[in-house]
Amino acid sequence: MTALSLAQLLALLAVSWTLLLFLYLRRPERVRRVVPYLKLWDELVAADGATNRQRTAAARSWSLLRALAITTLIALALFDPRPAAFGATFGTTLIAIDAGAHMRATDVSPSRFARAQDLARNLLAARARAGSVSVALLGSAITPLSGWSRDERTLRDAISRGRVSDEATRLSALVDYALTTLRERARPELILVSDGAVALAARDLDRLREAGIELRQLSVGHSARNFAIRSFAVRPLASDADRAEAMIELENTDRQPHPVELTLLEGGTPIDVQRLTLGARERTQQFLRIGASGREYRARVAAVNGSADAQPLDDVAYAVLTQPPPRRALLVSEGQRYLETALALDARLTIERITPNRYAHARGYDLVIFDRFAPTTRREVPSLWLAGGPWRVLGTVERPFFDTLERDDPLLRFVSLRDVNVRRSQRVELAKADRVVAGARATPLLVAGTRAGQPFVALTFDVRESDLVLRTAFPILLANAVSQLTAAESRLETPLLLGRSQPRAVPPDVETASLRGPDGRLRTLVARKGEVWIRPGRAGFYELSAAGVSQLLAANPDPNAVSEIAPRRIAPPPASEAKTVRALPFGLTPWALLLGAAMLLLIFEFGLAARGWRA
Amino acid sequence: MGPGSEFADYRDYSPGDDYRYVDWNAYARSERLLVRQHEQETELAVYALLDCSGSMAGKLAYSLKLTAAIAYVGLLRLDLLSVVTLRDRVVASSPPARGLARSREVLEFLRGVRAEGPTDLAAGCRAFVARTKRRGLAILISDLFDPAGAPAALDVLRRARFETRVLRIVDADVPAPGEYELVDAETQRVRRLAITPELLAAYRTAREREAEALARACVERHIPLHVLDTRTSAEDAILRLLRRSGMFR
Repeated sequence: MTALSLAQLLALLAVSWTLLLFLYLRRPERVRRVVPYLKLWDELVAADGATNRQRTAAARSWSLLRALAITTLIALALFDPRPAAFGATFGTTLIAIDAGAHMRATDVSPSRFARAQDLARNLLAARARAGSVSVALLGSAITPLSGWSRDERTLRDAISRGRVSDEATRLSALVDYALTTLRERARPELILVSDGAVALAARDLDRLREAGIELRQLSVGHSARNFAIRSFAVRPLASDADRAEAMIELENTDRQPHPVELTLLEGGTPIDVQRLTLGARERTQQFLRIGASGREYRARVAAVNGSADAQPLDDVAYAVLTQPPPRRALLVSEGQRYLETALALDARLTIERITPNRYAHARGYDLVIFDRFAPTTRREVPSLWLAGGPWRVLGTVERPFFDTLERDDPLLRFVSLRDVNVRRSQRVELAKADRVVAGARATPLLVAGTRAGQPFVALTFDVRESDLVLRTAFPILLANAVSQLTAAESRLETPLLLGRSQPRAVPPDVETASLRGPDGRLRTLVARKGEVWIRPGRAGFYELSAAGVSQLLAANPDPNAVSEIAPRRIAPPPASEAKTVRALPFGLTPWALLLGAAMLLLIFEFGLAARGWRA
Repeated sequence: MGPGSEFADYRDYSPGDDYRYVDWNAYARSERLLVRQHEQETELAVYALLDCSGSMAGKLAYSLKLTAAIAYVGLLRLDLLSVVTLRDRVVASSPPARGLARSREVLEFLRGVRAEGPTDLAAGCRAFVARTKRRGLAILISDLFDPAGAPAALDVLRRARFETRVLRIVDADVPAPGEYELVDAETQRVRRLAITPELLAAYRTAREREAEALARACVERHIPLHVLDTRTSAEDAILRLLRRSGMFR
């Protein structure tokens, strides 16, 4: 039911007052009653006659005033007044509720999004009566929830229909929508109900200002406490087909350190548990060696002291162990047993050896390995150089040492070189962008770089003139170099990210593929040119099937959408904080107060009447 | 029931009883005021004087029950009973009767009683006294709403040497505040009146004062007064109040 208009209110008052005046001013109906001794009444009235008449008239007058007051209060309650003291005067208001994945944070109960809906409803109390309001949901795109309306109930229902998404918020979409819908409207206002985890670009702010749109934010959320799994991947080890390596990137978005427990599960069974302390705003990677018997892996992070962080969505991540595609490498060498044996340990690497005099090019291979051979021809593929490199050799260095090592470089993962003895190395002229991974700048021993757009890794010494070939580091170093040069990791299927459409390959001649999600639902996807586009809605494992071939995929929340939850202002002043209705105690509204006053007067009238009955 | 030479029994003292018949020895023993009752050596004449004025209209049925009960007891005791209806005069009188065999006549008489007309109990009592040779017990059954004042009627009876008892019949019929057209039950006079709670309170106070004044008048004349509310059943009134007061043994 909508409230009365002013004209309706006045009409209702006129009719009710007229009726009351008629009822009170007309001659009252008298009850005829036989009494045994009227003389007694005569004596009483004679003693108090004038006062009784005045008292009677006064009682009727007061009763009339109370009746007028009761009807007026009820009529005003139906009118549902919204005095200006409860909010500013408004024109056209677009209320946008941030529904990005970061709004799933639970630092406010039950979630920031639910709280945002409540705040948006509070806004309606003042604005809906004073101007037109529209409500929309903001995620990666805008979802209008209502048209322009003044009906508070319609707008409340629209707000209740909103659902939080798993996508990142795109504020620019809101600005575009606001500029379109608020164009040429009276006193346009845009209120964003958000935690401000995503900031508004200065350019978008200028666009709003130029269009004369008042921007306000209604803040929700207060905590930045969150430890997240930003990425999780499992890859097979090149040197051991029965082992795999899990990489988990953790992040603490809070300004305080937090002890956490990291659990790795294969299927549903924990296979590794470790405790560590994440420093304030620290991001770290954990590498774990695990068995490669399973395919589905989960990583879970939790607070050690039991108190949960504010964003549970990024506390679990999923990964699938898949085998990398086979690679072909061309070994250009006169023959070196240690080298060939070390390369043969990678079961997924096919080596073809030719002698240097037969080398022409390496087209068709994923990698070319030059052993004591430095061709001057253009490299078409990534290259690994042993005792050589794509540079000018200036001389030799006797007994160089591995005194400087870039421990974080992927080439040196699980590799120890510090006590390796080298008889002599080349003194070379490096390019500016070349990276010295081991050795000094003046005497580099292990270098990585790019030539003609192709990456290379080079040892500046002959491994035969060192004891490196006798170390376990040698095959690992080779595996790391091959893996990095062939971008094997990048060929592995990376987890899908929620809220984004991503392609996945299917056999080229299929027209449709089916996708089964974590909830068991089956969807049919249209394939084009050997790929389908997948936009996952839930984190978990997916099975993509086409032409009888199935592949397992993992989907995780986008850390950029989910993990950073620190509340912020979306824009600097003059974008101001929106005012909600100044709440009356116990959630009362003006109409409820008016109705309450009318009820009190009615109870008072009833009390007077009851007193007369008892008398 | 009246003064006589033979002691019959004790009964509780009622206001208005003659102090000469109070047994002080019994009081000393029991600390209760008791009155000696004597056997009447001659037969007792009992007169039930029923007010049938217009003000009794709302109480007539109750009063008739009461009168019938009194008559029955009197006939049972072989007293010489007469029922007399009066207002400003004697309206009617039943022939003296003795014994239960005459009870039908008395009831037939009571059946024909109507409450109407003005009240003047003194005039009515004077008319009664003038036509009654034989003295005895006069039980006045009335609401005592008398413009001339009820004590005057009591004086008439007392001076005529009737042993008098008064049964005042009252009802709790009080109007609620509101607008009324009050009609006097006897004179049919109409008065428009707004009864306010204050006026109602004054009315109640006036009624209470009136009741006190009547009670005082009865005490001064040594006439027992019993006030019977129509909310009390007539059976209770007869069995408890009247027996305790010794009006009937």
